[in-house]
Amino acid sequence: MTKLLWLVDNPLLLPDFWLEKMEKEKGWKIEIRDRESKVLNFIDYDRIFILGDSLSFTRERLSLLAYEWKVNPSKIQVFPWEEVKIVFPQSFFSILEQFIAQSLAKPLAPLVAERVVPENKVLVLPQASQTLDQALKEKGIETVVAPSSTLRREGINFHLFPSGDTVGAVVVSPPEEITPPVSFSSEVEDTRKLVDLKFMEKEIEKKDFRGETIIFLLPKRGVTEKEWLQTFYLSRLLAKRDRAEIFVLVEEVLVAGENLEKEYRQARSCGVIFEKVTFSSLFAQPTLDMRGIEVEFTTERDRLKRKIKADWLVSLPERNVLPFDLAPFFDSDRIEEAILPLANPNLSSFSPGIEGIFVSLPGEEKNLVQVIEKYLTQGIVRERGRVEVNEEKCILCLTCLRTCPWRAVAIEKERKKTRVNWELCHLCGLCASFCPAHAIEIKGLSFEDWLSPVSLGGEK
Amino acid sequence: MEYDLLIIGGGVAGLTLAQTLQDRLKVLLVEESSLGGVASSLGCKATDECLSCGVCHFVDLKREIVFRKFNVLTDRKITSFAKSGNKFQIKTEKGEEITSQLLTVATGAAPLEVKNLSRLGGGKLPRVYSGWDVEKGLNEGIISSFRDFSSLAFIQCAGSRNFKEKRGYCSQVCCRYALRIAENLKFSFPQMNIDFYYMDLQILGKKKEKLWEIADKINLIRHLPYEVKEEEGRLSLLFEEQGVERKKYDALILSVGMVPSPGTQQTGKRLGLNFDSGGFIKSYGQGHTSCEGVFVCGTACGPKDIETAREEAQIVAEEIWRVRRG
Ligand SMILES: Cc1cc2nc3c(=O)[nH]c(=O)nc-3n(C[C@H](O)[C@H](O)[C@H](O)COP(=O)(O)OP(=O)(O)OC[C@H]3O[C@@H](n4cnc5c(N)ncnc54)[C@H](O)[C@@H]3O)c2cc1C
Ligand code: SF4
Ligand code: SF4
Ligand code: SF4
Ligand code: SF4
Repeated sequence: MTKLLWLVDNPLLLPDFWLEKMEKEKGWKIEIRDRESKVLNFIDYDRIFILGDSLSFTRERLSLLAYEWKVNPSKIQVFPWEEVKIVFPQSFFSILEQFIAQSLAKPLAPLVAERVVPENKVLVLPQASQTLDQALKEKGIETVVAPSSTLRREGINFHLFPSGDTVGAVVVSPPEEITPPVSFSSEVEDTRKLVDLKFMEKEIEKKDFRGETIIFLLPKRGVTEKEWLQTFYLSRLLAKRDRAEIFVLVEEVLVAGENLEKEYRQARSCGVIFEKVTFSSLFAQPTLDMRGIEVEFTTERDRLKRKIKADWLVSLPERNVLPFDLAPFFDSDRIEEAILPLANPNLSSFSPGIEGIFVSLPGEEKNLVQVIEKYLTQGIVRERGRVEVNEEKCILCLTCLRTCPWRAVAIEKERKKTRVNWELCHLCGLCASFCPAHAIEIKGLSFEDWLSPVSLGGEK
Repeated sequence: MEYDLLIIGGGVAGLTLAQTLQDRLKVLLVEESSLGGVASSLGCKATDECLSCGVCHFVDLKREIVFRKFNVLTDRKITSFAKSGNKFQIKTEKGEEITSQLLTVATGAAPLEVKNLSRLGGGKLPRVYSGWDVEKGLNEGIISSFRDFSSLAFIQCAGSRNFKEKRGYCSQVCCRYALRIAENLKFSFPQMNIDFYYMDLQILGKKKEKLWEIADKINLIRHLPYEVKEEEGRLSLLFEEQGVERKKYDALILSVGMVPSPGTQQTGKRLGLNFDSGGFIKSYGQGHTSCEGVFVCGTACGPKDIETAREEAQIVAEEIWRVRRG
């Protein structure tokens, strides 16, 4: 007898009379379980059907389920009943019957869903910033620095030349462009009163700023949360401890964070003046005695022109990430073009669109390292053997190489044969649909299945 | 039933905590309605590109949960808390008695109801939408129902950053969700005139650059209007700028923030926890509250977005693990 399992949201959808009929007429022993029910031994069943929204059951998700249930992934099928019920309410059951019959008729492809875990090591290109380095160290992730090596894919890992190392992930730490919020003339710089936040952090411990006037200048972009916190903290300390006169000139104040807001309010209550100004109207020049800087600006609130003589001008730069070219690092038959998230907003902020390659952006190192740690320790679940190139049919046109969004199709350098790297394949089916020689097979499913999970042929 | 850890509230924070600790401790999650909390009502804000609003992270989390062996009791109101020795005893309305070593409150925050904003026309005037309603309607295509409006204004900090009403805090998510909704509107109706009344732009997290770009596209006005009236079938907005000014719009979106949920207030009170000035449960770092053995995470201890709530829950999980191990 054929044992079938249906996982459903609502067990009433498949009534008992129908189940009995199927058992008697077809010899199918059908069991129904709630999708959320727990202890099940999935191996016993010949097929497992999920009655549900086909859109939310992507192939990747089905692979994951197959892995968790320890079953052959080609045993699991989704029946999109929502759609079917709307279109064919009367013939729903006959379609269901046909669907079961069709999937039983197909032989099971010998597939395995496997968890692939990358090597717990990363290469940082071209060089790790201090914060990134520290964040990686904290998580105990070993880093390799080899700015002039070339990479070749080996499964999910990267093989490095000439060192021979293998790493599980590559972190690109693109260079930054740092520009001051307003451009200052060299005379202003000559006063040596134009300083940065680090200077203030150091000096505040040694020096008394009693009675002095200090202006902080913060651009709206590229200032990290930590720098905002530091500014709030330092300005408060200077106002309270030294009774210095403090102005913080900004375009926007960042308070959307628990401590940020607290520190901001405390700074204000200690007498720090936060003034919103348009930076394009801001102008700085040295005082006559060259001991300070005169800053002129228009307040946004009441459009008043103000002139303040500052003893110190603490200016935070605006930081922008510059594009980084990955192509020279790859040793492959395909041109590797990494698209930084800045250039392609469709990508998540850490990913350049290549499996195992991450982009580190300033201020977000901690989050990134969390993502990398998860990737390195948990890896990914993939189906071995689902997509394969039939070498005899292949005419080596390299269409698949160019189409695969995951760079999973490789051409073997020595043999000059195409091969699908199953560890990277996301089972999207694009390669098969573009291959002019029909050389790419997606095992366990015909191409029609791939496009629409259920065939509605019986409705005539 | 005896557990190591009882989690109250099955929103993003509670679920993440359960997910992180389920293999190490005996965990039970009790939820008064269904799993997901506020995040399950939020919509995807992608135009032709993803705007990294983070809502689908939650969808991923939920997907994972559907097939996991979690100890969860949904649809359970807790009727009583008691402490005997160093254990907590909890009873539910369905009669279950649960004993647990540790408690975590993850009962979340609720969007501010617009009827509290009647001065801005909330709940009173037509075509004054709450940001929360728009969020809920995104997946059903609410954006297309804005087709006929030629001008629209967002009013930020609706109910937040207001000390008079004891809500001096910034709700942290409204600037970002409002900008993303504005981008959706601009994308669908490039002609629409969008004004954005605000205090400061709180742009954090993913896609910062993109959000700044959106901000450059719309008309930013640094004022918070104090009154909205209906005049000649349009919404007239009063604000101060060199005297009283008024501007007319076809529709308004009030970007409401978060307030402590009734469950948070109630649970906090019953457990005798300290609250902060905004009415959220006070966290003394790493999720510790004023009561030993009781932890807090998620928006129950202050506004935050989904990703921060997840990160925080992971930190609190490690702390709980450390405490439990001794
Ligand atoms: C209008 C709006 C828009 C937002 N937009 C975004 C966005 O675009 N991106 C983003 O990242 N974040 C957004 N957020 C924030 C996001 O919703 C929260 O960060 C997230 O939902 C917090 O999850 P939580 O688990 O802390 O709380 P909640 O989601 O509130 O979950 C609390 C859970 O506890 C349960 N509960 C309450 N009391 C009890 C009790 N007594 N007993 C048992 N169970 C109880 C509730 O039923 C609920 O399920 C938005 C929030 C709002 C209000
Ligand atoms: S697209 Fe088809 S024929 Fe062309 S290289 Fe790939 S497998 Fe071979
Ligand atoms: S199915 Fe083909 S195109 Fe899609 S990821 Fe796999 S190899 Fe690449
Ligand atoms: S992050 Fe937001 S906008 Fe992007 S896909 Fe997810 S839900 Fe949609
Ligand atoms: S996030 Fe923006 S709109 Fe919301 S309270 Fe903070 S400043 Fe106001």
